[in-house]
Amino acid sequence: MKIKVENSLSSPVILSFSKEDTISAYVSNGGFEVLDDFIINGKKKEILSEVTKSDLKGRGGAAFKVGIKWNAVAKIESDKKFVVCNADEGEPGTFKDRWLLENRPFLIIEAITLCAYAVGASKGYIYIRGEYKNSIKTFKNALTQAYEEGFLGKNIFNSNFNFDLEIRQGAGSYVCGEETALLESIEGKRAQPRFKPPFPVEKGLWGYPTVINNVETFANVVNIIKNGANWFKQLGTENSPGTKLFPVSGRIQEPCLVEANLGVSLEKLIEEAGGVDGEFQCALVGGAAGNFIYEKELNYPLSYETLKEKGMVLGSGAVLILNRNDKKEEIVEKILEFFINESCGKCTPCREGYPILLEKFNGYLNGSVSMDEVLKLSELMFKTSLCALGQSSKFLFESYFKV
Amino acid sequence: MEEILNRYRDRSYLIEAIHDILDEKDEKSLTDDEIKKIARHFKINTAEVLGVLTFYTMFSVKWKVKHTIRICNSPACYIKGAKELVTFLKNYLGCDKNNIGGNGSFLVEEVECLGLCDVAPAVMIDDKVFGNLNKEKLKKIIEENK
Repeated sequence: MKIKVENSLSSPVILSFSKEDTISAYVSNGGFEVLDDFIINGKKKEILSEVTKSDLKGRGGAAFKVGIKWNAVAKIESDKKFVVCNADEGEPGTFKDRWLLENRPFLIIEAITLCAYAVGASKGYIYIRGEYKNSIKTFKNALTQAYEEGFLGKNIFNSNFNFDLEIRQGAGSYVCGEETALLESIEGKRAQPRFKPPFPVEKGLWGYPTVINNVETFANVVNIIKNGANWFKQLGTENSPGTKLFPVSGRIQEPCLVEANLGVSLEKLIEEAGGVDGEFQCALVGGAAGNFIYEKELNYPLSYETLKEKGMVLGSGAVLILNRNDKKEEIVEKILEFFINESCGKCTPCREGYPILLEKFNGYLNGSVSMDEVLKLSELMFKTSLCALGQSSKFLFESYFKV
Repeated sequence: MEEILNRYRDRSYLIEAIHDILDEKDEKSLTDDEIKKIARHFKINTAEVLGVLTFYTMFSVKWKVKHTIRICNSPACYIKGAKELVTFLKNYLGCDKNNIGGNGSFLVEEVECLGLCDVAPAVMIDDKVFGNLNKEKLKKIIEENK
């Protein structure tokens, strides 16, 4: 996979051009130094305060503030607490976590362990989707090395801190990316989302306080703690600090993974990926749970708050470029079929809504159903569905009908 | 199978156990007896095992096959011609209504995004990944992986 760093960044924050598949390669680049320092010096509070001050937002799609989750779990008294890494990457067009799992596994291990130390957890899980066979293999191998070198297990750095990290494989289910569905799956059950509240920070795995963050979110943590929150806040925009991994694919000359400051424009990302293959029509940003962005919005900054202001979402950051020959309506149909297949069946609006929505959309295409009717149903599903899976088509349709 | 089950005690390992059992079997499906055995081992109902088996698509295989071809047909691969590739593949292997072809040795599954969008269109044959495909390339890969 090709990786690129957008040229306004002097060096990548998350990506690395040297492959770190052995622990010695990671350690010789300064790996595990932060963990060593913070454990030996007992700096739990410092970890929490830097992560909070950094304003890091979850990179899985929901953009929830990481510091809030970590502090909530750290505060609760409980004999068991868990840390979970969500590596169930399944958003169409997204391949950033796969790259991280296969190229920077030790960075992820160090970050999860730092989190566990800060919040007081002694057990962690990384849930990798079952189709990512190579990622599972690489990560298993990385875990073995980390245990052998004493970065995981009992008495890490001769302290009294013990931490075990275990891989759990998915088995083909998009909804597992939803945090509570993922927890159900780790418990060995059908992955149906839970009602929230209570949130996982209060009642997560087996009812215990649980931090759950995406792979890319964890990938930011070590550098934030190493360089400080102020350093991190210089990157990105005021309300969306840091960099983001943008997987760019579709009608593009060089499909690749681009690291760029949050707030980067679509035009810049396209430029980094060698330009459009054909004449630009639009980009599907954020995958199936995302929205279309058009030519007149090419210069618009891509960040959580700037898109929110426009009623749009950044989601996973996936950028799928369509040219003039591609049929946007076929992509929408595919996405609706995808949601029909992946709906877990627990809540009625999503289970019953998507088939009707597809029917109505087809009706719209042949002129028998109005645009308003389609929008009204997707809005209703947005308001009444249990999880993001049932809520997603609102953004898709609002952006679809813009042109 | 007993050996695999004995590695796992807690019921949270149900999915892991099913993965391991299916990985070791030539025919990628579970018999009623095996399902009952798994249920007894984890001290849960057969219905719960069936519930999990039918929820996750990777466990949905009901027929005996040697190789599973997972062909991505989600947006990124779709716009790069995955639809034509699916039709070609099924015709080439002479797939039946259960999508089994190649004299019973291949199951063709249309799957959702495999995260291989940078090399779209892409397929997985068992654990192996192949990208930047066209009909000729795909034909060659099938022949090499029979």
